[in-house]
Amino acid sequence: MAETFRLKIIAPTGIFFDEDIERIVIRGTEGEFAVLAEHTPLTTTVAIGTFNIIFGDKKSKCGTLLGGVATINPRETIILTDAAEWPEEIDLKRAQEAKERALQRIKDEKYDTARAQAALERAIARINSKEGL
Amino acid sequence: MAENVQDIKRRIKSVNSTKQITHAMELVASAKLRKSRELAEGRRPYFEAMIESMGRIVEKSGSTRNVFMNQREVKKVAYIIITGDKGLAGGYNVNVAKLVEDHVANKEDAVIYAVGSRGRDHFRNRDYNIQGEYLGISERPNFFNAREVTSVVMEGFKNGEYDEVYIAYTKFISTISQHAHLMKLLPLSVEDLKPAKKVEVVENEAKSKDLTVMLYEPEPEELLDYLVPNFVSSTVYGSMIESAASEQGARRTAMESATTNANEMIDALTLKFNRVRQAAITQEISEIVSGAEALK
Repeated sequence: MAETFRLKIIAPTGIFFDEDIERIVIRGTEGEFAVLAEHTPLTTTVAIGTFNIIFGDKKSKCGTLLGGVATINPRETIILTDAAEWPEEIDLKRAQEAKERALQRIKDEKYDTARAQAALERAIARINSKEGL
Repeated sequence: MAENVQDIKRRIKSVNSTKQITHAMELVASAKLRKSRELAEGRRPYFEAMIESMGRIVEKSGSTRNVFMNQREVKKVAYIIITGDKGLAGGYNVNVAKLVEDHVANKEDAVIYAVGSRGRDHFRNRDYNIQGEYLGISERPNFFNAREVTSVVMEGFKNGEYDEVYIAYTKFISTISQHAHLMKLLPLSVEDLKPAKKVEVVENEAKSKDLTVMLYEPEPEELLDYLVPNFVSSTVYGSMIESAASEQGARRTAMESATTNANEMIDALTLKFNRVRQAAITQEISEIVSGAEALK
């Protein structure tokens, strides 16, 4: 069995995930990357997107991260995120509605484009993680 | 005894129904208080981890080029005031408002951001400059509400609309004790971030050589651009949650004493009622007796 390390995902509302895992694949702002045990210490930003955790027994679990910062140490990785969700918590219909709304708002001058863009990214990440099941 | 039996009876009834209301409000407030406290607990890990990584980055980059960490000459001051949307919570709303009023040196140089309608009304009636109001979120604040308020305030700070930002909220000490509290939000004090870090360095050095080789991608400065707004949001969020818990605590205490007072009043009225009734009976008997006596 491969080596495991501790992963903590902490959201403002509480600890979202805190377990020993073998590998995690995250979407960083600089591209997708995987973290294994004994990784070089690194602090980096996390983009809005899905993540995939692989446990020591090869079981996997995926979810959504809505941006944040990851602090990676050889034996422990801490991800501070704005919000994290498991696919079962996501309401697909709501996410799709949000996507439509965001698409309209990007075109509309009235709304803040950057905010609509962020909303769109969030909605897409949610839909992806739901459909990836 | 001037008062009539019927009048007293009616008063007892009305005090009793008020008591039922205050008692129900007390129960509701205690239930909400428990929920708010749970929320407040949940926030802590994030906040601590956040301070830790900020401290490390500030230490590493050494510089404080970040606009939110630079002290400037203070001309205008912004206040974020966190109060409730509802009254009947004892001195909860008034205490916060008073604290801010005492702190404001010059009305013209103060900008108010009001969270909760009670605070807004208070300052609007006194002709303060209210730039933002956020209503209906006081009772159950979430992180995104906090972030919304924060981004507006940070933008204003960055554009030089004001040079200092304070936040006024109610600190939750225990279920029966809450204190209004004023805290400086911006500019951030670098010194405040450092001590927490030092403890951790000692620990880390003992454990491994982690700190010396930590890589940053992107640059620490860019990371700070992400962390600082979140740090401030998290602080604001924390204040909102604590205020929410305090509001429920204050309301519970206020309603508890209202219920006690109502009970006392009912006791006093019942006593009076019995006396009046007794007096009426006695009078009637003596009237009958004297009437019978006269007939003899």
